[in-house]
Amino acid sequence: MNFPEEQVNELKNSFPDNEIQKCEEAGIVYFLIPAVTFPEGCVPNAVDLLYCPTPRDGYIARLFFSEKVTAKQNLNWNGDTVILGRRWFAYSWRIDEKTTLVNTLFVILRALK
Amino acid sequence: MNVKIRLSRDLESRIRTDLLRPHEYAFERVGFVSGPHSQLSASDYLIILNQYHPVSDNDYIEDHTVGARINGSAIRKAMQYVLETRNGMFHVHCHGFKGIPELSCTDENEIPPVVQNFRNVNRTSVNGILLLSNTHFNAYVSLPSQTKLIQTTNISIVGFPLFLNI
Amino acid sequence: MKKKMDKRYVRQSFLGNKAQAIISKTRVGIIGLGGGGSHIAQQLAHVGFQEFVILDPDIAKDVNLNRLVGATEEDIENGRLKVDIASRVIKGISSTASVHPFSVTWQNRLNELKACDIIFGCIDGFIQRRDIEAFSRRFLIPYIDIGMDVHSVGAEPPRIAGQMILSMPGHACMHCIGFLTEDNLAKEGTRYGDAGENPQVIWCNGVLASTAVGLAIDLITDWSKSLRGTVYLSYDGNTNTLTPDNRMKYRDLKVCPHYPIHEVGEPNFQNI
Repeated sequence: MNFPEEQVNELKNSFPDNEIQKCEEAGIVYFLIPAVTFPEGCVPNAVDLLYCPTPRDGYIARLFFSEKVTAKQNLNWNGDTVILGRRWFAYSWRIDEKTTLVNTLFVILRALK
Repeated sequence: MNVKIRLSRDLESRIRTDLLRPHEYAFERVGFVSGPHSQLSASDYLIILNQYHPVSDNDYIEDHTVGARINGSAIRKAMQYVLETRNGMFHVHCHGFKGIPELSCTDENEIPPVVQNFRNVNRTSVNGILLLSNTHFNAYVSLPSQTKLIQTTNISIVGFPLFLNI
Repeated sequence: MKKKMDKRYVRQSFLGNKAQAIISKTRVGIIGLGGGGSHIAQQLAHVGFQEFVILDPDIAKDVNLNRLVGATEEDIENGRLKVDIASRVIKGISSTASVHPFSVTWQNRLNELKACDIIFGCIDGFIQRRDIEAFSRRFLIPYIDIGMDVHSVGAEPPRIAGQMILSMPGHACMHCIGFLTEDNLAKEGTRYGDAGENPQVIWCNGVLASTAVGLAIDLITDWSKSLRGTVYLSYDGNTNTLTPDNRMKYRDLKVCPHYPIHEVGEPNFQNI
């Protein structure tokens, strides 16, 4: 699946210190955002993210973490999966409507504030 | 060191089909096959070969003292692939006959330097030599942590029929 | 010791004169050592497999005793791990077997699974099956899946259904054959809380497990010379039949578009 170039560039520009890469498995495109740091109070403070901006397992978009992150609010970490040969975790976070790649990603990340 | 190699039946079939094609002046053909590796532990490696790179007819040198001789251009193309993809590269050819194939004297002298070229391009890649016979496989693998080639016959052809090189 | 071993397998010599050597060197992974996996472990040991990687995080409980092969009342009292029970069964049949038990979920032991020549999946849920298949495809490992379920049908007698699937890299996958669908994955993904305990019985598990083991042996020895494509067998526990699933007839099964055969090994990420 191809994403609009301006949205991909916006994603890249939103993480200027991280070299974002993409890969595909079973027809789904994933964006790997390595070593993303989180707000103070999150443990661990930095993990790799694997962003799936297309529908998967009933979610219209999903964000996977290389480790579970403890944040201020309790999160339902209901995703324990292996994608692209590596283990990933995801918390359940409902998105009613997808917008751009970056906006959807930040909606999910809001849970860590 | 334990090295396991896997390739699909589809890829094996393409390799054999290419290596069996006659050449205008070379007695046999050679090729290259590449793929990523996984380090499973300090001493265990898994190599998944996933792409075949046939040597172009024009890249053979006419030399009747050997089965096949290829030029620098063929090797540079393979090296470029290693550089671009970070995958490892294996020199592959077929000895015919049945049973576990072994390196000939010519193979022992001439192929390891080619493998060293791949290692020079990417020190973290796993490269080597893959030998086929009509029935079995043998490989000599260059691991990042080792100076000598490690031999392995633990090579599986995955597909129908499944072949475990035992 | 070797002469004792040779005599042990003489009744299965029809598998071919190299079969026992191949069987003994094949490394098998069994994910889930419950009703299905415990059967598989036992049978593989009897046939002569020597290299086992077995994974299950659970302990044996009294609700498992109706079907957990090898489990005893003492195991339940002591809260014994399912992988320890399976290890004991395997080693009791074949003391020379090398068993690597992990009382964790399979996601914790990916390197050990990558080294397996065949993986058996004996777990619940479509999402896990999808994940294990994707992993097996990536590392060029044939994956054999079994499972069963009991459905209530109003006032009618319950219906027992199950499946045994061979997913071979390069050939039709569980999406291709219609076993995994976006719908069943989505329904499971959005379900809140535990699925609850599914009805499970030993005889159905036994049929499926035995068939899976027989398939694995045919796969590695090619004794029947007939195993040449994806296998999807549907089990009807009410009529006691195991037949090729009807959906296989209507699908173009030559090449799998979901897992291209060249997209294998550690993934090749591209900069954006």
